[in-house]
Amino acid sequence: MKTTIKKFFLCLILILPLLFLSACENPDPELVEKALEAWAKKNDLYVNGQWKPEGVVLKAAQDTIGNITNSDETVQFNALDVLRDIEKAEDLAAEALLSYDTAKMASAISIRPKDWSLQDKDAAIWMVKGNGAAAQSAFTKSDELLRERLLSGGNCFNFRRTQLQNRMFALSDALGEYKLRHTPGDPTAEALRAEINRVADELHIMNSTKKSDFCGEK
Amino acid sequence: MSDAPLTDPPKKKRGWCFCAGCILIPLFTVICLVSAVFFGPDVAGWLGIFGMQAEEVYEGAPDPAASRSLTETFNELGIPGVKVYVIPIKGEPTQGAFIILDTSAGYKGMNPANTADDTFLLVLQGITRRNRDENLRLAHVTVDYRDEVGETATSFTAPQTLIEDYADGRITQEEFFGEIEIDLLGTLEYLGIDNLLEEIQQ
Repeated sequence: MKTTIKKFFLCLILILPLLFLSACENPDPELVEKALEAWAKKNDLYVNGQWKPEGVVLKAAQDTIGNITNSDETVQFNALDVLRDIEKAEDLAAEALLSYDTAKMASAISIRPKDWSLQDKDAAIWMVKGNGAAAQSAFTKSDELLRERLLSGGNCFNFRRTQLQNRMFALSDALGEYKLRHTPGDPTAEALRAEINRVADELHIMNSTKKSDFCGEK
Repeated sequence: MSDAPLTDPPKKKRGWCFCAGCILIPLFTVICLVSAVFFGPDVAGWLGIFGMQAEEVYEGAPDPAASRSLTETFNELGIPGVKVYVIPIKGEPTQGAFIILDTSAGYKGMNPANTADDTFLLVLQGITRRNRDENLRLAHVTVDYRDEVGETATSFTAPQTLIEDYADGRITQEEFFGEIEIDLLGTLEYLGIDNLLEEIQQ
């Protein structure tokens, strides 16, 4: 038992220098080393030039508790997995927009079901496919998700403006791709253009009046 | 009076209830502990005891204009391989900024041209300026260092107020780094130290 405890602490003593050695492999070795040193001092892992291996245990325990209680810092670190999901969904959505693949878009939406920007991209694909009802349904879903989101707070005007800008990007991307493959005057291209104009008009009114019908501001 | 011979009083038998108790109490305790670890955060989240989980906090669509604006800070300083996401925080009027410094996408450090400038400070000043000028309402900035294969090597997070204190010269770099939060568990996991600890303990 004593040997195990000795080995355990020996390992802990090795952890801190290893943590610092990891900085050497980083593209910012000096910066990361400075950050680690200042952070280790502040968190009592490095006191008066001496490593305090028990400090690692304490910090790891604090972090584990933070993980259970969803501390502010833990949420930020766990959000890095959310970023991976966003990237995956964006990649799928971009591929779906190129190939007008609604199944692929559905996969993207299943990764981020509350992300209204994906619904707008879905709507753009349905418009290209000539299914106006499905496109309208996706736009409505996007609006609903935003309204649902606003129930928990946030500036409606800012959110709506960002949503419309996003929608315009999605429709313009779809139109750009579509025009490359079809002749001018095509009805689908015209429908896309009309929808872009409708979104642009709403944005213009919002910017000039600083009010939004969507937010119930007349 | 009975004529029956006197005998030792029969020993009180420990019934099956006692044995079941021996097994059930520890079993119940173990189930409670396991449930607390695995389901505790979810249940606590539903009951509103602890904060929301990251998936819920950042479930909304990223703000593309704010994301592009902050990415531009890095482009202006000639730093490639950086992607920024600004995502609204549920229940608050603020947003979280996530900076991905991705070696697998061409990130070569904060100062790829080896200039004498303190590029790190310039980046934070750029973020602070855009946050103020464009009213991005940033609450936190989190940095994700990714390695050659795109795996997260280490990450740190800082409140925007701390970034502004350093960018505006109210605190030193050492004071700034002392106050940030480094993902110790994530970094140790990346270094494989958790496995090393397990092996030594066996």
